[in-house]
Amino acid sequence: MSTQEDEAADPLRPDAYKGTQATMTARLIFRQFGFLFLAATFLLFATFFINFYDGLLDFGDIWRNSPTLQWGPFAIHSWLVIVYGYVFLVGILFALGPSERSFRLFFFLMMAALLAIHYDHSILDWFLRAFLTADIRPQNAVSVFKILFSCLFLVVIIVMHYNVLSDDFARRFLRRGVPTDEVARVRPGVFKVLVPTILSAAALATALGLLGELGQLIFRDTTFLPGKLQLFVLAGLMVPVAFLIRGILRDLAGQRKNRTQPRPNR
Amino acid sequence: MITRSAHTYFKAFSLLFLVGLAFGNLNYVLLGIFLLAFVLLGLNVAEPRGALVTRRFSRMTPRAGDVVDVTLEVEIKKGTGFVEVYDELPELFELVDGSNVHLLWKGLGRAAKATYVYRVRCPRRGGYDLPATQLTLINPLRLRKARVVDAGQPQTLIVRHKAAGVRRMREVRGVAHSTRTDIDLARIGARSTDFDEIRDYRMGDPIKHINWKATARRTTSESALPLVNEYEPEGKKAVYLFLDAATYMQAGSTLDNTFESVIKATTGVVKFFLDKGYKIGGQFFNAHKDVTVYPDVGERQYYRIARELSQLEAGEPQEGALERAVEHNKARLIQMRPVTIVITRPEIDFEDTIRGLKALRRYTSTIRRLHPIFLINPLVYSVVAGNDQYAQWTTTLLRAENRSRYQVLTRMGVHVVDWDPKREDIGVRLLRQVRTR
Repeated sequence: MSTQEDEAADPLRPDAYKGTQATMTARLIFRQFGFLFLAATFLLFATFFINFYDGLLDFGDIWRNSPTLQWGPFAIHSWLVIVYGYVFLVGILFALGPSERSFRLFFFLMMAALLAIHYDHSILDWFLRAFLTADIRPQNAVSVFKILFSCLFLVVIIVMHYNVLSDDFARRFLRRGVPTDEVARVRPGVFKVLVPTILSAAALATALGLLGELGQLIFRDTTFLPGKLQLFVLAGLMVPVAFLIRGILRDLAGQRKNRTQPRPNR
Repeated sequence: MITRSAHTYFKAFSLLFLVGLAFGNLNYVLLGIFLLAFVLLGLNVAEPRGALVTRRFSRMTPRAGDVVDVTLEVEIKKGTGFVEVYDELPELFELVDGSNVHLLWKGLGRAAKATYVYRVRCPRRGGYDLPATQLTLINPLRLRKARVVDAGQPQTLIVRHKAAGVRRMREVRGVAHSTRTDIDLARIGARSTDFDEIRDYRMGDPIKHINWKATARRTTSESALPLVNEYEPEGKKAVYLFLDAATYMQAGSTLDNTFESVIKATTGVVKFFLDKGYKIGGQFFNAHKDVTVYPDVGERQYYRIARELSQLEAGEPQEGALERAVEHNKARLIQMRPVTIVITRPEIDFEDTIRGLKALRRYTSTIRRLHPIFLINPLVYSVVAGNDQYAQWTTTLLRAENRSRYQVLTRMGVHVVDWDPKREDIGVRLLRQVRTR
């Protein structure tokens, strides 16, 4: 990620760097705004599938009962202000100061939002039973749409991360003297790998969510199979995952052996 | 080694997964699995590997100031990701065109090939070690730390200096300040077929050289020794160089200083004598690593000396270095009785220089004949003084002061040639030794 050092003028290609830096910053902020809008929209959709008051209130009730914020002739629904305001506030802070630290802060604040909207009866029930000796059963704790939109929300967050990372990459390579036409291939290169990876991961999570949902629909009357089915599916999935981890560990072990001396100062 | 980004994603997965398990919330678990799947898939994207790098130079022995084209051919056979191709250049090299850092994208499927050309100027003589091309293999999602590997072979580029043009004045009849070698013949070496004289037979003379007719005519004389034909040896006289490579010879910038000029002048002198068929040898003393060049003739000797000179680095001056250098070459000096050329700054340690020159005189001259010794004195004052008028006056005074000292050297039979490397060419300076009639 960018550091103060990155901002220093490129000794090899000062003109090219300065021109590109201005263009890059403008593009970065423009893209970040677009991504933030998408992220907030997905978060809002996921929020509509809220089951915090499941059984007590329906979506319409939540929407109707929430207050609107009046500002002159404009009236904005509080949910919109809360969701978009939160995402844009944190996201713009990240866009203005893109660094590893600000990314972590942004990422975990987004995760906090995700945790908040997925807060449901299972937790509430546990809390009530543990501390207030009350018992409220959720009707349907798992919502496949909620997971789908949450996955899309996460996808956008990750894409935002790699958007900043690509610019940082490009800036670093420019500073080292890599020709501009080669640096221009950084973003397409990153996204060529990112898009299939992230889609595969999202498909995996959504498929698991669907399986859970279907399991509950099909085996509603039984108490044995749904849980077992999910366990089987998870166990089946863990086999390739275990192979992946094994491969990574082997690779890492090999890297340690072949580790070279640190690169000298350029 | 995974990166901080990968750590962040893994922490987020752990948080969601553990909270999901603790509270029995499948949403959290599934979102955690999404992040885990992303990290694992991203980490499993194999970084580029199977790299082949070929580096070619348009000239392997360029001259100082020449521009050399460097061609890099890179091929990445497997994997996916970015490869930063970096050729580390010696500090003194100047990048004229292109870039020595490139970025290659290796996508899935076919091997990625690229050819990069950049141009560098080699401003100073020397032997430059160019390490193997560095390849930085970068995970496309930057979830794994980049790995630096060396590809190709390290190479050495020997940058030669341009020899100063030392010429012989033709068609100008004049009186030289000194007696320099021109038609002196070698003292030792293979004999030619040119007859020189008849002399008494000495042990070891070949039988075929006995002049039987002359011996027969001699039978009436008292000596019973046969007479032999003496032939002239092949080649001309030997020239011996003593080059002072101490740090005080350097005045000016790193790239252009008096020492560099002295090197060029020495090469010019070497070429001049070798072209005329002289045998040249020498000793470079006070250098970072002293060098002895055995006397020889021909083009190969020129390249040998030029290579040694191109790699010569100035060293710390040591007391009695010239005398030690002379002692080191004593055997050859006595055997060849060469013309000697000493390039040093005598005013740095005058007594030391005198001792060295005396030793030289001892081994090169005989009672009958004083063999010439030339001392080329590079003047660094003008470089040090720059454009400051007062400094220039001071340097003029210093030169005047030293001139009296040079008279001592002249009395010893040493011919001192003052040479200002910044103002005149060594060839021109040597030509000025001739006075036209």
